[in-house]
Amino acid sequence: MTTTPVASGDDVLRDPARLRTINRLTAVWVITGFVLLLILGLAGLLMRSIQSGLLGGLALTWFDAILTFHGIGMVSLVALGMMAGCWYIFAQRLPMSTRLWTVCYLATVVAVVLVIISTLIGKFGTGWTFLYPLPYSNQGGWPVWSFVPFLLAVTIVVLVILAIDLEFLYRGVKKYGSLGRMYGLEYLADPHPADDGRPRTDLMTIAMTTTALTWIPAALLGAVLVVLELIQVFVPTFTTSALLAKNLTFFAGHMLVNVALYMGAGLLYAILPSYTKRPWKVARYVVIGWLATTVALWFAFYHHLYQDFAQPDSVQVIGQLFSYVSAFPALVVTLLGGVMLVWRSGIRWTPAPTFMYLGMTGWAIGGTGAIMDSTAGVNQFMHNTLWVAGHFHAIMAMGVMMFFLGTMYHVFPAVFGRHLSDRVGQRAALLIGVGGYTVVSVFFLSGIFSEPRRYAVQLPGTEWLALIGLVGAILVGIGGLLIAGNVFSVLRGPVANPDGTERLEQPETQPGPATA
Amino acid sequence: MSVQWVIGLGFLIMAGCLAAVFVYVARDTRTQSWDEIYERAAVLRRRWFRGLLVFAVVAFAVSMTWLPYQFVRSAELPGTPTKVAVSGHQFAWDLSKNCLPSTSPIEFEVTGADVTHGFAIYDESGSIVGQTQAMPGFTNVLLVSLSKPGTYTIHCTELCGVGHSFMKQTFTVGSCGSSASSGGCGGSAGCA
Repeated sequence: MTTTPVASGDDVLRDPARLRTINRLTAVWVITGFVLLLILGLAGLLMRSIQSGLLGGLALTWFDAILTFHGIGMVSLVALGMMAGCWYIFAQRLPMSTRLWTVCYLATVVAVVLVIISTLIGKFGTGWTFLYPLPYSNQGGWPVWSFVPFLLAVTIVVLVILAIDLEFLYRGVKKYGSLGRMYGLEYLADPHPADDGRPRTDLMTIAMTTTALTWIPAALLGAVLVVLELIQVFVPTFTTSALLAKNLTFFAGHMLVNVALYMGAGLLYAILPSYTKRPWKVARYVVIGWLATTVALWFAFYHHLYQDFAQPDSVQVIGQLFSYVSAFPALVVTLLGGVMLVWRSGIRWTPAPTFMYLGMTGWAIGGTGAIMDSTAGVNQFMHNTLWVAGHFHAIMAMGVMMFFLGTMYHVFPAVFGRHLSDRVGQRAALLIGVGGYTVVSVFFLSGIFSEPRRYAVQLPGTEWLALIGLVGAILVGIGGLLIAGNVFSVLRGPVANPDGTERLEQPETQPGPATA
Repeated sequence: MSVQWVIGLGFLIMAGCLAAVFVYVARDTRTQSWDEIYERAAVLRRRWFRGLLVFAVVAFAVSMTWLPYQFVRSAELPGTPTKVAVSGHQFAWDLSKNCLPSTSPIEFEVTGADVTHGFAIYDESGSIVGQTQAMPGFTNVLLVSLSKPGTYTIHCTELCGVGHSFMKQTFTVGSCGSSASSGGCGGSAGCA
């Protein structure tokens, strides 16, 4: 998996000191991300314990704060975790700044502290979407000051993603020549463009370009919302429209979740071929798919406002149309390509491809539930029930988080100079798979029973569902602890590569026909 | 069978098929060259894309008749609706009427007094039969037909603070006494 020679002619990319820094930075991101994943997962487990009635009085006093801690933590973690994986791979192709990435890491640590202050000290409990005007009108649930560290933490996450996206675009344009070439627009005119001596894009670059271009407007409109909210914190007589604030919230929030997924797709493009020994190349229909997703994502977020009948009817119809358009290309194109790449490839199911494949499965299943829920007529019956938690967790926990674990296993030997146990990883994957789908299935079933989401105390007679969900969460937790134990013991052992300059063999283009 | 079970069954079929494909592909231990696979993949891809496109277009067209908005519902539910003013506030519901007819459509005019709430109507079996948001500064009009007499419960489905789980209210559909149908609940506790 690891090798020292580098195909690129750029001396910066071959600088041993820079490679060491990249590996160290990635090591810090991996360990931080994994520890946060365990802690935030524990918060989820705690919520299911409360909902199943096991923890009694804790329900009312702490549930909303834990919910908010878990929610904002997890959505930020999936986005930044995917970004860390992408940065590691791109840093070996582009002269990405290690200094900027270090600043991003330190800022992220500050954001984590701010979220802890806001939720676990201030008891801020609006959920991660902080729907206006709940932060200011809470019946004594939390002090208004606790909203400030929350907003600052959100701002940091938004800016970290924006900073890396902008740097990626800048360095990408310098390398490939234009934004159009990063997208592979030349494939629209000619499916097999002739070699013109300039580098061609790859699938991961296309996914990351989509991420960057969709995140820029999200960050700008998200900033507008943060400013409006901060003004009201300090000038309580200042108010804004609840509907406007909700549109801004979900424009940025929906993008955040989606860019995490698209970066996960980028990692899938980069990692899976290493194990199937087959090429996953750019093709015309893939370019069309990602372009369609880029445009449609701007309007798909309206499906979060289907039950706000004050929105114009035309906007609701547009929301459904673009929800379909945004979901199908990325989901369908990537998953079909991934499945064909694996089929009869003779793949060896070590932990890295196992987790990546599990992630594809979670994306497919969760995506199906999400597309159904983005149908306004279906949403009328399932909105804000645990059905939403079902498809959300299928995509994020069983999709993107699996990409995180798969990436971690994939980069671990190069970054740490040590190998994790395949056997432990496979057992963990089994536990996480069984436990995770138990959690998700219970959410879906509870949605069918019309159980509202974010209830500290479930509707009478449905606590047993939360209890089954809790058992699933415990299995996931055991799987996570197995990996943690393995990481801990391996890191205490000897280093195979003391100089720390190993890099992944991650070719940007591969021979052979384009994948389906 | 409730609408939710139909939706759930549809999801189970689709998700089950997808899961079966993923398991089948992962467990197929035979090996084949990429060139051979690629030819078959290209055929599969074309069929898959075309099939999905047709499915998506048909699903979109059909689903337009399910829209919960007034321009669709008023055509489906002719007749003069009974209007009910609803206000959600932390952590109770105020309804202008607490007993409603089963013979005419009901038009709930829903708003939020303080923060945004989720106005979801549950039938006696515990299934949502219609919902909208109760947002401060806006009135959302939900037109529904509650043809089955009985006791309905409103639960809040939008996180609205520490009492969110307990924010509920009942109302009756069917035979109404004159005082109940004209008077309303008179506050959050009146109909609970």
